[in-house]
Amino acid sequence: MEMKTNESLLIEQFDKQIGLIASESGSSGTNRRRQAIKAFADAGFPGKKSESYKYTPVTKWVNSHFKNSSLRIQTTTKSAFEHIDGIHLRTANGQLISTAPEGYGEGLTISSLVEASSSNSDVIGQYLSTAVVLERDPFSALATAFAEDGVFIHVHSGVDLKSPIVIHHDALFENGFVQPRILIVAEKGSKVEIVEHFSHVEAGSSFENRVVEVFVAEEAEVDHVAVIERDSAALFVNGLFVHQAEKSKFRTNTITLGGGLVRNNLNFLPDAEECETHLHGLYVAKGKMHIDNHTLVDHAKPNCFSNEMFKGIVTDEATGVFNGKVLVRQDAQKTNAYQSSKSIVLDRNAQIYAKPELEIYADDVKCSHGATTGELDEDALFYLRTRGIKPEAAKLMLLEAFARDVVDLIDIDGVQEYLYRRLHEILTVSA
Amino acid sequence: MLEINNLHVSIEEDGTEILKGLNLKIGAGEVHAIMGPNGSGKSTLASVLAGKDGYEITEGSVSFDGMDLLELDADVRAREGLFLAFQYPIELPGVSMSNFLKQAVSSVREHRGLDPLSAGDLLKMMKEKAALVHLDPSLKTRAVNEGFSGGEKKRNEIYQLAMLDPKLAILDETDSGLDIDALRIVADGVNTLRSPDRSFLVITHYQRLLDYIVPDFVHVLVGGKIVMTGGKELALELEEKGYDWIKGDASLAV
Amino acid sequence: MSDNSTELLHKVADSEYKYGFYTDIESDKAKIGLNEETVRFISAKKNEPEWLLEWRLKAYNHFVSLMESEKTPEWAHLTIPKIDLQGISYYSAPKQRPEYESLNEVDPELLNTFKRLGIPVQEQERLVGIVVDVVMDSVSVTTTFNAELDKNGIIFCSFGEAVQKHPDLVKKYLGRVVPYTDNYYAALNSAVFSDGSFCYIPKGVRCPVELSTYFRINESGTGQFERTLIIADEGSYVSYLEGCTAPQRDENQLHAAVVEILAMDDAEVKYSTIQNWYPGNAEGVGGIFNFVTKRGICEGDRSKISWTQLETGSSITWKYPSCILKGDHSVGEFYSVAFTKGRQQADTGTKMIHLGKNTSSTIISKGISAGNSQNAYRGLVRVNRNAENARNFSQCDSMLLGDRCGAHTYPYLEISNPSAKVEHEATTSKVGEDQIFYCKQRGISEIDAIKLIVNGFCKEILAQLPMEFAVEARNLLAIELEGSVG
Repeated sequence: MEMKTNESLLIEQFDKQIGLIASESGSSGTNRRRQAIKAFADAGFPGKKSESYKYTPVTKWVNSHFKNSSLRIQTTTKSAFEHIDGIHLRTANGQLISTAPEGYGEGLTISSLVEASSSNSDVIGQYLSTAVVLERDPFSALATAFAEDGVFIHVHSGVDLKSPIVIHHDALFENGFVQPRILIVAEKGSKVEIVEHFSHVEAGSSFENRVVEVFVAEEAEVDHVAVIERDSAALFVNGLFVHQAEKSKFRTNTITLGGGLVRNNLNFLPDAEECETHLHGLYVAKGKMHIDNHTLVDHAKPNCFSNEMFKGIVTDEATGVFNGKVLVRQDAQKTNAYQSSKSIVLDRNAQIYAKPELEIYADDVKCSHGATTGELDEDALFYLRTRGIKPEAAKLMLLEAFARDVVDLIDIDGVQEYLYRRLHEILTVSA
Repeated sequence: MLEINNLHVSIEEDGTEILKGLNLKIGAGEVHAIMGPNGSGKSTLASVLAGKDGYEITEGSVSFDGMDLLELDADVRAREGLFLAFQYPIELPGVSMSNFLKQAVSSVREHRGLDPLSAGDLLKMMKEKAALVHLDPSLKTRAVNEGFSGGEKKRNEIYQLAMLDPKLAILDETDSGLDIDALRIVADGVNTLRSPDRSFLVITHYQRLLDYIVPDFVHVLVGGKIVMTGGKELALELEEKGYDWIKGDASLAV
Repeated sequence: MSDNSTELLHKVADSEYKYGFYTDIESDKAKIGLNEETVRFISAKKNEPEWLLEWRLKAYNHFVSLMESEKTPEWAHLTIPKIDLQGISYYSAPKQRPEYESLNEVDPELLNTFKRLGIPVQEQERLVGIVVDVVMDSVSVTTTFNAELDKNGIIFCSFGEAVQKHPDLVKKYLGRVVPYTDNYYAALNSAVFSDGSFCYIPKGVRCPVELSTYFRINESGTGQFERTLIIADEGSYVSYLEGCTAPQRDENQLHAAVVEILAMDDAEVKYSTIQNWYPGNAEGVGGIFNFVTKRGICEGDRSKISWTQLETGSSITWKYPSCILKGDHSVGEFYSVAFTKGRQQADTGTKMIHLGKNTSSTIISKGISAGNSQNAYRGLVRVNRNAENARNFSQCDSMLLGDRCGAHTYPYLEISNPSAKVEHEATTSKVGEDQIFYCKQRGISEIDAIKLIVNGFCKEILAQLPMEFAVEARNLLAIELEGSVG
């Protein structure tokens, strides 16, 4: 296949760096990187024929955002979740810059990935880059080949962290291209809540290509929230790969309110019986934003439950995409899987593309999906107006109610309030 | 208060004429009942007065408190003091009752030049008015009409009537689907709200409701026109003789 | 599920094809292979005017360019073996196209074929209801005559005849809905199509009878590439039905048809298909590759096109009967039952393209998978920027009979107008054990219970078929389910 400049440049760069990288990630890590660059080289950046990027053309974005300038942004933003009673971490350019606070608790290890590769080499060796499925997405493969430093969170067996871990993802290189990584391992019976906030930073045409891997061991529970509010010039690719063991629970809420092109690649593998997976998401796309939620729940084992709900509001000239697949493999009998996607289009220059998929190879299952798009309910608007509420206020009220469905599912103090406030601000202009 | 003159209304979509020259005058503090068989145009009248889209007024006028009602938007009508209790209250998933009422009450008060209510006062008022129709105070956290029983939905309409303090309240088949106890609760609520400066237009198919909400006038609507007007005893007569009696006599109507 | 019923399901899944006979009729075949000469040969055989030959050649050249760049459609959930397009004959006609005065003159072997197919040709003259065009291999062999059609000015004939007798109509509308550039198989069809049906309903005429075409691939080593063109002029109505069968062979045969429908102002076309091509045996040997492009355009205001299909045959089905809703207030409908068993693969659905104002579409699809088959619904609903108040409702339900098959749903919703209301729902289920038990407790056998439940599952679709064929469809489905039982 014909290789585009960027792709060949990247591969060339990989070959040059591999010696350097090898010293820090050990031989198994190096092998994984080699597999990853091969997967990337085979696929290249998604082109016109890519079914999984059918509604999200990335070529222009990738070309204009592929720069390697290293001008560091000076300002640091204030964390929106500062007030939350929790363990606060901060990254800049994807690298952990704050050490975890003193006495953050027994049974929890937080460090940079580089540090962990020596201090926790066995855990890193066992898990790092093993949840990511290289063939699934070329961006994830690329990020794996070049994995930079990032955050390592290890919750030890049986530990119930009462307060959430809050990660404030801060400054970026101006026009920078970063590929940070997060590894979360929740050991048997542990419980943890993780909130990630990608604050609004003006970093020109920045390109963040990140991969988060989460391992949820037997009977462990992980609750995850990501709030993305990057700049309208930013390209943001968010690869989440979750591996679940028996009787584990994983819950995620991906809230996208800012970014130029945002692609959330969310992948879930409940790889044992009696897993519970909840994936929720909300996006509001304005201006020329393009937000794409691409999810896969891969039911490989029997007796699991998954519930997916995504909601989106698009206005102006923005584009919203939802492509969610529920895959039920032959062994996954008694799977209960639900999926729902609802969107509201507010402007005739805005677009919604939805592709909810069911792929089912087991017969004794209960699976359903639903997708709707439309404008606000006229009867509801009329009803509000008969009560004297002005049209704009009525519209805002219904939009907020629509969005709340998802936000209400977040169970971490302080996060809901922030999102209600932000949604009110954002939607006030739209209504 | 309300004066309807020669009102002709068609359905916008297919041009079917529903109201064919309706006249009605309601004075302040009066309670009028409109009765009529199915399809006579009762609900259309309620919808048109409240300003629902989809109807074309081909002839006639409606003045409300001296204003040309038909010129006003639906929400302005409400703020001016026209209230419609819906026959089928709409569900608003995700919109809480308290948020909904807060917005409704404050825009109505603002329009009428009243100071906004403090949160405490509003809460007090909500509690007070909810008690009128025996609604559980915990309903304020629930989404509007979502998961409400049929009776709860109807009581919720009267509750909102009380909250919004209108000059004219139109009750569109508020009795439909209510058992006798719920009917009594609703009627008691309405009766408490009767006052010299509040008028009611009670639309119903059955006389039953009028045992509890005793009207000053009863009108019979047949074929898009009011064909007979009388006192409360007319309702009883209708109950006894049925609408056919009127229909047969419709040509004699004024 | 009990062992008993599992066994039953396997029997269902492996049941044999009942239309696998071969008719011994002498035929006139084109030389094997595809090249420009083939195209010219077909055109000459059909005694076609120059413009049509040119159109075919353009299509051929386009197809060659697609072939060279290997642009076969790959997005479907199908595993398609490489098809040797040079290994088949593109024209096969029963020798000497017969011109019959009455059915009595027809080759008895041919009539016998029709009888075995269950086509009511002989009864046709005394029974009301159906006018039949029969396309065997590549050419139309008989169109039954109906005086009533004539009286109303309705044209219903073979495509070849239409080219000779109504060239203006054909020239005006051919390729209007499905241009030869549309896709790989449409390009191939446009180059080598040999016959098909043509139908024109004049203004204000309500076609008094069902029009029907039966397609049959008879010869080995051939493909069938027929083309159907239906034009419903202002205010007209027609109900059209096609049925398809093929003999049982170990080789795969290609069927790449094109159907084009135009509906003008206030016209309504109801197109029903009972597709029962040979599906191959239980091990997946043989069977028809059914790669069909069907599309209708609601050209006029308030026009309506309704597709109903019962798909039980073919080794591979790749088929998306679609509606372009161009006229204001136009309506598109798609009702489908797809039953797969053995090693069958089906990827079928529809496209509803909303262009005009106040257009609406309904999609109801029922997929039933048994054996080792794969059954996918794939459908697109697109609402363009200026399509105010478009409405769509889609419901796609799948039922799995057994644990070795797959049922998939791939809807695509593309919405660019805020006033659109689009709803899609899908469910997957199996026949409930409690349902079967309940039936049995009332004295119904297990297989009858399954039939009952599956029929209930498909009921709303089968009800869309013209009455005569609804019975045929139910029987066909029952036979498919019953397999070797009973």
